[in-house]
Amino acid sequence: MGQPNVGKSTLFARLTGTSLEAGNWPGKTVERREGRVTSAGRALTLIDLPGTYSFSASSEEERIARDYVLQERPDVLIVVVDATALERGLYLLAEVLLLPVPVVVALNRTDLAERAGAPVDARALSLALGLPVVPVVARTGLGLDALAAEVVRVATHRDAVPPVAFEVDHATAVLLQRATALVAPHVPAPYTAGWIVHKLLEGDTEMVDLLRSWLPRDDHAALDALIVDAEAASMAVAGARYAWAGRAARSALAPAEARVGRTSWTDRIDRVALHPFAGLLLLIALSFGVYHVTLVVAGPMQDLLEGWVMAVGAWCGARAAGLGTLAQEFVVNGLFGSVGLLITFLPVLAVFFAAFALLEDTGYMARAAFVLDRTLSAVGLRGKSFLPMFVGAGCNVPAIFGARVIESRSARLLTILLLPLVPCSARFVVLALLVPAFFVAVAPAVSVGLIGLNIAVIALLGFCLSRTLFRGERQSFVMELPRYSVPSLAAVSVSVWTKLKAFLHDAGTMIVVIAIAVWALSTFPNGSNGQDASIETSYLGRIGHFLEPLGAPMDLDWRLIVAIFTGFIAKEVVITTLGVLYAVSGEDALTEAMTSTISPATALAFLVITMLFIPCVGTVAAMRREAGTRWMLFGTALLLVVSYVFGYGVYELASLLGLDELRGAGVTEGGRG
Amino acid sequence: MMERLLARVAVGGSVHLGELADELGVTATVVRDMLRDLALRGYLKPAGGDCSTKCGGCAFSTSCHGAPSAQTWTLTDKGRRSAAGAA
Repeated sequence: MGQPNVGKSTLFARLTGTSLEAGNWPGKTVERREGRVTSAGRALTLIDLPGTYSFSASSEEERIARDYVLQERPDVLIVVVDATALERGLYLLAEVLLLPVPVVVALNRTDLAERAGAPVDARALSLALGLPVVPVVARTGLGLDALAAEVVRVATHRDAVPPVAFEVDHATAVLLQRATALVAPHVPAPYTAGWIVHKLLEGDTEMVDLLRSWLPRDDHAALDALIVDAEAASMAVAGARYAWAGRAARSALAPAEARVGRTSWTDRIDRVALHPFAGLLLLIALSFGVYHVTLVVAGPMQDLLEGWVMAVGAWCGARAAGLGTLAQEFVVNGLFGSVGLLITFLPVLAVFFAAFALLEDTGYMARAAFVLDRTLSAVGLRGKSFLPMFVGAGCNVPAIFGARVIESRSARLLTILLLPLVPCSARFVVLALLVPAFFVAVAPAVSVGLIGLNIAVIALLGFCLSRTLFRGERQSFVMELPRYSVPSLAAVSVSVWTKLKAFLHDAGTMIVVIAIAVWALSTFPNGSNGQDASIETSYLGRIGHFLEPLGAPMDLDWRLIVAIFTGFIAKEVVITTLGVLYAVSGEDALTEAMTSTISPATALAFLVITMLFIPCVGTVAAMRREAGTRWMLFGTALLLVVSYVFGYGVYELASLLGLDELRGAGVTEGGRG
Repeated sequence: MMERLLARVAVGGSVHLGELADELGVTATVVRDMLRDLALRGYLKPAGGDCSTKCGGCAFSTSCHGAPSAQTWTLTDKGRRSAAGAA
């Protein structure tokens, strides 16, 4: 017998060969198979019992298996257990062992378990169970002779079945003992008192009725008085069965590895990756590595592409010259300033996405999520709050919709308010492209620092808000971590391609449209004079100058302010806005243009605000839909204040270090006002 | 064993199956089975954590990293009473 899909039928067919006869169980539609096998001169008759998860008689198959074992009392019961799902088989075995039948365990699929990296030590299992365990591979016939020989041996010697020692709490133990003593005199063969009491606690109605029909009426009340809380007792007994199965499995799996002095790679890596401190350090180091690799690998490719795009732009501009200066400007600055810039993003994004896809495919990202969650939960963000957060690592919009799964209103609101601070992929794009432009040598450190700041702000706000506005109950988050595996190149390529395509489709379209709009706003109403002065007096210039006092404390010029506000539409737009604005003002490359006019302190303040402010208009719309207009406004105002305060704070800090005076060579007037 | 697991879930916070298995001295598979069993008995309920069915209509499904294989469990009223009683 065994659970369904443990390879029982294959094993049966292999053992009995041509002697197999099939029919139906009397009065049932379930197939009954019988066959013969000869071992050590003894002819054995084998019956294939239907697959069953328990002896609860909740299906016809389970009833047939149960009744057969109870009433026919086979000489030996072969319990087939799947080595790749050891515990489940053992859980069934724990129930079978309540019946006085000699058992031989056929441990099937040992080859698959070995291949899966979790070999089962049959001898250790046999010791833990106190039963004969024979490893077999039904598919190939491996170990079948040994199984038949063991069955003959057990049938001949009639080994005493060891009683299963289930560890239950004292109250349950006393209850089991008293109930067994009470019913024992009345339980007829083939049933056993111990098994009947277990069924009684489980609430098996058929057995309860049967037991009542056997018991004298006086004992009914005594039994009812005894079993006050059947549910608690049933849970205790089920827990004891799980514990028994779990401990036996553990002794057959883990200690075997320990004995030969090796642990699995997954365990070894996890000792570091899941450690509260080391895990966090590893996460920071890996993020650092990803940015570094992106810079080193994609940087030269980006430069090369930039050259080509500019050359093609100039060539197209020359072709368009005949259509007037405005058309030429549109082609060179408007079209190539946006589409061209988009093309030069691609190598950076490809390398960046590939690095993350590699980490994801190894199984590490689940650990990263876990370590981060644990860090965040230390400051009041609990359980489910976290899940949309990490979907948020892709995009804040679905993450906010994902917060719907949180039942508690306060926890949901808190999550929705904090989600826009989770660095989304658009922010990663901004980091990957802008940080190297400002901080060539220390770009990875600055990038990681900025992500760290976002997480720190989430933690800080979470800590404050969960103790003031949003008090909620704690929830538990149980995570299943996949095994580490060698990443598949195909999976990584598919992931990179899908993400690039999505970027080009979702963000790209918007980037081009907004870049052209920004170009138009920066060109009109002056037209195509092509002078720096024209931007200053353009619509965009006027808006920028109007808002400039806001940026003055951080030395943010009007172009950076405009960039921050266009980033409200979509974060990636920040880059194109800067590209268009700086290209228009006569600089060649964005990098040179910006490093020459912006101090590191201002650049830091700008990046901090960009990272902390509302990620995109879609996020705001999602916040409104999920939390209502009032909370959307509160959230937006909160982020505005938080980003401004932190931007200013970082600027002041950097100024203390003298970073506000450093600038690249060749400071131009560039519209700094 | 099941009561201990229920009490542990009631503490809250994030925990992975391996940790629970170590704490209880069993294997991760048994912990997973017990959690499901507790849910069947009405002490726990799975709490979302799976947006696979929502991706169809989501404009960002392709740019979303996807949820890690994770399950969040919350106590039901029955579970809360039971955990409070045990404590």
